[in-house]
Amino acid sequence: MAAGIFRVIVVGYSFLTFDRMLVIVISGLVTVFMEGRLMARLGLYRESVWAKAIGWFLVAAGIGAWVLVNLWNRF
Amino acid sequence: MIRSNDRITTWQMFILLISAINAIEVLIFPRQLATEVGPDGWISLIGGHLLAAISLFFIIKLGLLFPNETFAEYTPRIAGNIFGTFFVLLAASYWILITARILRQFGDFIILILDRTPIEILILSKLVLAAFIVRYGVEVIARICEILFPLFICLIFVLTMVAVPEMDFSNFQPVLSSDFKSLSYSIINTALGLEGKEIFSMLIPFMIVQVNAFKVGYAAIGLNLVLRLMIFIATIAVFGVDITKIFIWPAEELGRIVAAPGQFFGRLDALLIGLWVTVTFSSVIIYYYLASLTLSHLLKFREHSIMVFPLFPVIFLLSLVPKNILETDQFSYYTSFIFGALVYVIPPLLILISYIRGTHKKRPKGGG
Repeated sequence: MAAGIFRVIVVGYSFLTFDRMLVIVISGLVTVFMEGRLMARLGLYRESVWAKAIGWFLVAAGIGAWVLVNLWNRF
Repeated sequence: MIRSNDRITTWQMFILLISAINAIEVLIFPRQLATEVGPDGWISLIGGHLLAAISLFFIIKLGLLFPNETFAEYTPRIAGNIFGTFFVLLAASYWILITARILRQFGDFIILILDRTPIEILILSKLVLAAFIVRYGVEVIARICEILFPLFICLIFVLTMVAVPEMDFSNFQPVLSSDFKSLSYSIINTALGLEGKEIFSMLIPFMIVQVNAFKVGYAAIGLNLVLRLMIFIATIAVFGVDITKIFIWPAEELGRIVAAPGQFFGRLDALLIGLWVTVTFSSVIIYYYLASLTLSHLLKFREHSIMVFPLFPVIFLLSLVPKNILETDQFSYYTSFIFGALVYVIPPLLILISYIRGTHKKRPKGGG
């Protein structure tokens, strides 16, 4: 079990590079600033709130995951 | 929400279906058939398409029971919230996985000519373009497929016609040499490889003339069978079974060796790879659209575009999970099981439940 978790973390580290993290963050920002604003302009306020929530979640997940794998590598 | 301009004609539906079925599999399937049943692959193709036609009946029948709703809307009404949501999530996951798989296969294929370009860049460039098109809805996608469709048909016809002088039909002997078990296995595999017909479950509400759904579906399956038979026959007749088995992309190899009489056309492989970018692109935009539409309907969003960019990194990262072509093949093998469940098990089950509970006679809550 521990070996399985260790393997997932190691694979996760080698998989999530800076460039790939950047793709997650940019997608999040596009969702917030493009879709979020467009939905608000169309009068779809529920959708606008969801777009912003999903977008910021992606930004946080991208940066968070990258920081975590870097910390894992350091210690 | 279905916008007033989100309507597709019968012809556009036909093209969408052909484009969805023929992504990159067309380049690979002669190898798979040659490995499984040798020269009897044509029987597997016919059998596989017959199975696909049966499943298509259930998918369209289910769609026509709820003509104004998509799979994501009527499934929770039929099967209840828990099972319905599970089925819808399964469909969305499948469309995400298949988009990722096609992109990865496209990357593996295009790297034949762009061998120093990182695969991430190949995938990313296609995905960015696809995302911007998918935001505009099914009508724009249908129009793009309409433009790209003649290229695909011409390509297949040119490839097979130019190969005619090189063909040796004795490569098909002995006929019916495979045993029943391997032939059945190959037929099931072929049927599971015909991904694309499930688009009916989401796109019937967008059709202007919904009663033509059966005609469109069967015409598309028929044309697809003809195209695949042409490629299979050309590949086996030119290379023979043993050589076809060792090629990664047999159809591309066909383009490499054949030349028009008088060497007027030669080395068609570069042209084939270039034009195949458009073929895979049509499939990617269709599946990407279906994934975003399914999730947005599940979450009751009135615009599907809200889910396009959140799915972007998911598809991109999934497409980079396989390390090589062998792992991509395994990826493809596993996704075909989800496809099998979605196409052969869930639609008949939902029809049965709908008839027992009479769901198709009741109007949706809040509906007009």
